[in-house]
Amino acid sequence: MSWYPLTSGDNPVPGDPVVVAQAGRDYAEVAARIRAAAQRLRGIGAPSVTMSQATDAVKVQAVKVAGDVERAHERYASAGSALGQYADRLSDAQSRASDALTEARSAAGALDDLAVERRYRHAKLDEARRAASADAAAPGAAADVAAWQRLLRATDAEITVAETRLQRARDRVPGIQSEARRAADTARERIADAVENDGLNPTFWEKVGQVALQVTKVLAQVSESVAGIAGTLSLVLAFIPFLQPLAAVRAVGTAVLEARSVAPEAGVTVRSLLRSPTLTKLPNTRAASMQASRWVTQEAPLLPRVAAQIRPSTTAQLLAERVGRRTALYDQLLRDLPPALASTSGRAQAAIGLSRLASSGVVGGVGYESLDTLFGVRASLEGAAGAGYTLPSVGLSDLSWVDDSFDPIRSQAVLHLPSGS
Amino acid sequence: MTDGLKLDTAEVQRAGEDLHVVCQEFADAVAHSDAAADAVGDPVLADTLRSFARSWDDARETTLGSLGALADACSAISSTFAEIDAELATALD
Repeated sequence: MSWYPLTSGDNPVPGDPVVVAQAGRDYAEVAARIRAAAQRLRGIGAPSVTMSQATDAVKVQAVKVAGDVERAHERYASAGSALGQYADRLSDAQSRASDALTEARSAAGALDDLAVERRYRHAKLDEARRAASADAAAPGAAADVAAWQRLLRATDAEITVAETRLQRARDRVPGIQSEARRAADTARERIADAVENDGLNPTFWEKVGQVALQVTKVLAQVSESVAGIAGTLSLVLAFIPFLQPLAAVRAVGTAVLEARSVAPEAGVTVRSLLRSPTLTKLPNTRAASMQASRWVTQEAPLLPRVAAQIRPSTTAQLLAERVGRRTALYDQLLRDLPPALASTSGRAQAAIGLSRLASSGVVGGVGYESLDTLFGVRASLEGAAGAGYTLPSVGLSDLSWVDDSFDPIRSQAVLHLPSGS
Repeated sequence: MTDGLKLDTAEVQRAGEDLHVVCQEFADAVAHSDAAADAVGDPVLADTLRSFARSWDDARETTLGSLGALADACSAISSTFAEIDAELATALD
């Protein structure tokens, strides 16, 4: 766009305030991200957050890299703010220049019109003068000359006014340009100060890079630890509802061990379980699984604590809920079963309790600890059924005595209930 | 469980996202500052903006690589856990 007649044609206040304002917002956004990242890195290193022993160092390093990265915040925040303010002032200057251009164009247009008018009136004056010169006595000749002279003077006066308007418009340009330059100087000084004072020189950035790498290495360990926790849970799950083939259990357990369990209490149990000679000496997979089931049952109260170490975790919540439900049912069963077995109706209630336990979905096999109590339940159930009691959820046909002579420890029967879920 | 893991994976994920944005800006800093410099309309301010991004050219690649790895690590922790958690939760249902 030509800025003539305000200037010779050049834009008196070049620049694109829209682009500058967007750049300012972008820098401000980066500054905010820098600060947020730094705060979150500090959170990783906060005293309240515990990780494995190996990650103690990363807490220090995370805080350090947070501080380092945050030093860039001031640079970007200053640049964002400076550009934002400059964009406003540049926009204002351009708006004023645009107003001046409008005024200049109006004045120049008037001058063009007046020039035409003046040529016309000047021609008419010459014509009147020639007429008066040819016939001075002609009526009205002198009056015509005088009239055109007045009109010509009036036009000249209008031209003077228009020229003044044009010049005043042009005179506003230096002030507008000066204001724009001051705005640019202010922005430049703010950015330069931030760059000079933040200490983010190449050497600094190299240090940031080195620290970031250290943090990354330890975070990789944390990642393994997360996998270890999850692997521990998966191992426990593998033992629970219906005991999985030992090969699969061992595969998961191996993965857990390789992933470096960071839940020491559960980890010890898992490791001892997997490495136990008792397991390897058991006669078959089912026997090994039963033994594993017993161990896991013993460790059941630990599961919510393990799960609680991870948040937010759907698995942890589900596990905690189910273990809690299972524990409550189990405790109730142990409390209620002995007196209940004394009567036929009590035996039916015992069957209900067993079915609820089975349908909890947490345990499909009942621990050995309850075998003494449960032994004889088959007879109780048969008796209850014979007495006409309806057994909810689990009927006799759903129960199976998987191996009456199996128990490698007590040589007693194992009650095996189908999983209700 | 004195040495157990207690880590807000969502927070770590957000740290990773923030760092990715920061890295992206650092990676594109020259292009961004050049675009802004071209738009300011003042040659001195334009030079300042260009130097704003180029002042650490020498260390840029190293820093970008390190911060990028850190950002990836943060993201990997949360995504890995989320995937495993989802699989286990499905297995529990």
